[in-house]
Amino acid sequence: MSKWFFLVVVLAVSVPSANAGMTEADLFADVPVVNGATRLQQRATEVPVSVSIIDREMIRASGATEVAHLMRLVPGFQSYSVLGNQLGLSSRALSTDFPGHLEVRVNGRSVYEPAFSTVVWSSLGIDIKDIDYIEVIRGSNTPAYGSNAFSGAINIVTLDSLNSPEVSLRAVAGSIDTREFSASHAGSTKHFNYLVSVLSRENSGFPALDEPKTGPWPTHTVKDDMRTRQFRLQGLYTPTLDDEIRIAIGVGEDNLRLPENDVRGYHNREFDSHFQQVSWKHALDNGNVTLDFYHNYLSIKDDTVLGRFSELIGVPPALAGFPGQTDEVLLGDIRDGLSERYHLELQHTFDVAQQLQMVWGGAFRVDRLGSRFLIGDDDIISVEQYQLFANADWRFHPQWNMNAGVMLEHNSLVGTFASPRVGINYQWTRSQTVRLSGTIGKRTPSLLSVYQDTAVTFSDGTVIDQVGGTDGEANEERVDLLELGYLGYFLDGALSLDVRVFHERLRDARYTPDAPANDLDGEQNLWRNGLRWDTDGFEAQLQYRPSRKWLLSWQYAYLDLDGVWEEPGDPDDLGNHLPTHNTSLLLAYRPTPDWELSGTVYHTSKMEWTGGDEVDDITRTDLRLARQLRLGNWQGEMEVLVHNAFGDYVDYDDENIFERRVFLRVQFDLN
Amino acid sequence: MSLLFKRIIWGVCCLLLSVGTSHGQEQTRIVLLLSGDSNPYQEVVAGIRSALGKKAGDVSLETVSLQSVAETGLAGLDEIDLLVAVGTRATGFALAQPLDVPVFSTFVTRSSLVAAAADSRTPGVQFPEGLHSAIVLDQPATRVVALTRLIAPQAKRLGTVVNNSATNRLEEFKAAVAQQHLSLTSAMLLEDSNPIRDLKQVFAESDAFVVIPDVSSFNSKTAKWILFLSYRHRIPVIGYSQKYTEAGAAISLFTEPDQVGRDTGEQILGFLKHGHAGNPQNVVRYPRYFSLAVNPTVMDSLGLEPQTIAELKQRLLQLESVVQREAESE
Repeated sequence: MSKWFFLVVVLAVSVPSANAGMTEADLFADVPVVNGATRLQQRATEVPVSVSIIDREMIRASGATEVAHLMRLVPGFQSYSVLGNQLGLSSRALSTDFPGHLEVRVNGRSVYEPAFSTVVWSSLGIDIKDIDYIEVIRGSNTPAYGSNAFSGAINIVTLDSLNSPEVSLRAVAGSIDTREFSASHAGSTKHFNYLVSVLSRENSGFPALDEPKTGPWPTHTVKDDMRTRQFRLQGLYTPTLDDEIRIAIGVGEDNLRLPENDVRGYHNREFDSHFQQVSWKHALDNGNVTLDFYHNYLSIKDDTVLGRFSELIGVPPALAGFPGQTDEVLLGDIRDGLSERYHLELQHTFDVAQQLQMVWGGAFRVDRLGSRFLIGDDDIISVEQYQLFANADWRFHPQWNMNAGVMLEHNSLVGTFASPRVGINYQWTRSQTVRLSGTIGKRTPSLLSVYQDTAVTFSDGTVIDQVGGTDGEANEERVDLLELGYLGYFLDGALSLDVRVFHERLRDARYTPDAPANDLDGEQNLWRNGLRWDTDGFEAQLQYRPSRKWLLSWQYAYLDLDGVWEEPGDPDDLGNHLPTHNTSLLLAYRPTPDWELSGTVYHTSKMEWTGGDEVDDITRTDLRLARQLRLGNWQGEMEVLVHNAFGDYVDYDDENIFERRVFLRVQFDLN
Repeated sequence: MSLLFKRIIWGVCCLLLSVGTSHGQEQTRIVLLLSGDSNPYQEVVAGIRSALGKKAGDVSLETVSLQSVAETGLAGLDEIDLLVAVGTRATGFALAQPLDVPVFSTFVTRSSLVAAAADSRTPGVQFPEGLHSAIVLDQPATRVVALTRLIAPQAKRLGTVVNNSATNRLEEFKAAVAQQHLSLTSAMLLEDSNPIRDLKQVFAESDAFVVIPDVSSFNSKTAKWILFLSYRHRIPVIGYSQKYTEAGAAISLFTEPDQVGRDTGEQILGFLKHGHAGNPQNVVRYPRYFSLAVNPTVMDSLGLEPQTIAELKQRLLQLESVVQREAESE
């Protein structure tokens, strides 16, 4: 009988009287499944959105060395390199240097950085080997997780103290001077279980950028290398059968050298980060309550030296000054900055009735941003945000269930706004589901987009170049999403097919068109609401796992975007800012338990990266050969990874030439 | 007494009053009283009808839910020769009535059956001795232990945890383990127990872990820790549902609604042939039919020998039969 039998049974069986002991309902009840779609424990066939799961088997087979690159295994997601070590990720949104329309969480902790309005992937603090699975919601999930989940939501779930090896060691070496090492130890005391992990990574970025670069100054070798060190501790304490307390703390430092019109050809950017997270889950007779608190801290030091003013404008030093100014060395970019988030959340999940389960709760969040260069002030600006959410799943018929949810958010930037969703699922057989859902997602403007006031100035504050600012108004962005989905399982679950067609209507998006400025070049980029586009799309994901020997995962997305980047005198058609076709195919084969061969092909059709350049079709092939090893009680694996095996391609920017890369990766685990 | 309960009583009274007035002499009248209308109960009914096969034409098989008894009554039925209570609530209700007809309970667990029987002992209600029999959903401990031996032949020490409501089941498992020359390490998990600490002690002394199902709240609170620790200690878990296997158990053993229905239908055929609902020496018995769900990934990672479900099932039936014969000969 199909595995999905229980999916129906769990919600259909009546709840017995409390004094009856274990009943037939208990035997057929679900073992809890965590799901980020609605915050409720649901299966993929019950949720109102499309969900892709990247599990450990896929992670291993992909041969990926960057977490962000794994998202290429999700239909409609673009992972790209703004620079060698500055990664971007977007889905049905403009691919800028700082994409900010996706909510990315690690074990429930949002890693969105208010200072950049994006995720700093180099500061994520986790090694790819530590990931248990990644759950990706393909489509706006603001009704469940608020503003940042505007285009989608990603939850990265890591191994914890109970399912990690007692000791795990991994080393990677290879192209672009890659040297990585990570180690973890899982242990316990009488009452407490812990996992300690350390991570060290470094590489030299794109080799093509190392070529001498021309600019206002004599040519210099451009650098985009990276060095990062991370430490993380996770703890688990279960004082009673009903209580589960988890803690996590992390500390990290990253050093990036970023190509820039700097006198050296690059500038140094240092991130010092730490986080703390505590969560308490208490089981009730009916449902559970969770209380979660976390704090993210990121400090930024940047030493961009633009050079002498006279050199910048190409005149002799004696003639360089503005009236009343003398020639001087100018500094630029972020210099010193602070990005911080506090988040406190309470959530209650329970069964309202036999066929109706619900989750509701509230959250309080403070985002803080400090950077004289970015906001033109030494003060730290902050915004307090309140969230109130509820989602319900009502199985009103054995074959039908309905989801409804809403997120209410309030902050001082835009006031109060609501993001509702309603969806209905029909399971015409136990293994096949069709789904229709509608979502209105709202997104608060980022702190930076409301307060930015960035300028290159003389030391006395006189503005030379007003880089960016805001038009003084800020409204919430809005996306309307209507989708029709199908999810089917065949061959006793070995084959799955996930398809959705959708229409997405985006309005009032924040963007930075050119605007006049009272400075040397007479223009600046000004944040304002007003960008709009419509997207029609089709996505499919097919997975086939007939046995432990084979794994096939195929992803495809067709996107048709209709929109215009409205800019005075220079409107730009956004139609090619998303790839029309985007596909990936992962195939893994294990001829024997000790050997595995896998390959992944990614293809993205011609597009113009919003913050980068227009590039032709990209086809990239990654290959992986793995051999299992045993050394006493140690279980090991040695892998040869070839990234982009056939031919260079341009990644985001014409200067980012992604060449063939070869890595050797070795891991040993002691269980 | 709640209004709903009064309505149910009234409905059944109508049913019983109508029993003697219009029932024909040729057909045996059987009522299937369902605890609910949802899919599992309907599948039990479908299994019963399927098992009756051609004999279905010789009986009057009426399906009634507790809900409809409460709402519309059961007028129109002439006579009951056998009342089949499907599920816990239907069983509890049937046992609480002063019926003079055989009652056969099915799709119930052993503990809910015991609770229902205890609840039925109310003043003025006497259920006639020998007129009640049942098929429970629980798997016999002998079968579960035999399955463990088949998938993990090297496992000599089994582990499990229960709460204080499942001590009878624990005793049954202890006996089954001893009979098959294995040992059992168990822990009692109460509300104030540290589940990970207590489970780790059990896992440290076990080669395989058997999940004894309990109320769902207990099952859900312990499942995650059991499965995590099984990964950590590289010990197979024998679960009790398809979902447990999907979540990470190496294998699960369970009986599905249509299988219970088939079993029940065959019991009804026995009733039609012999005139009583069950074997007087074994009025409550375990299900004859069962399913296995294997997690090949977990089996492979634990180094357990891959076996097809069909092979495994056949071997389990044979081993269970051998063990039973040994028990009878002792």
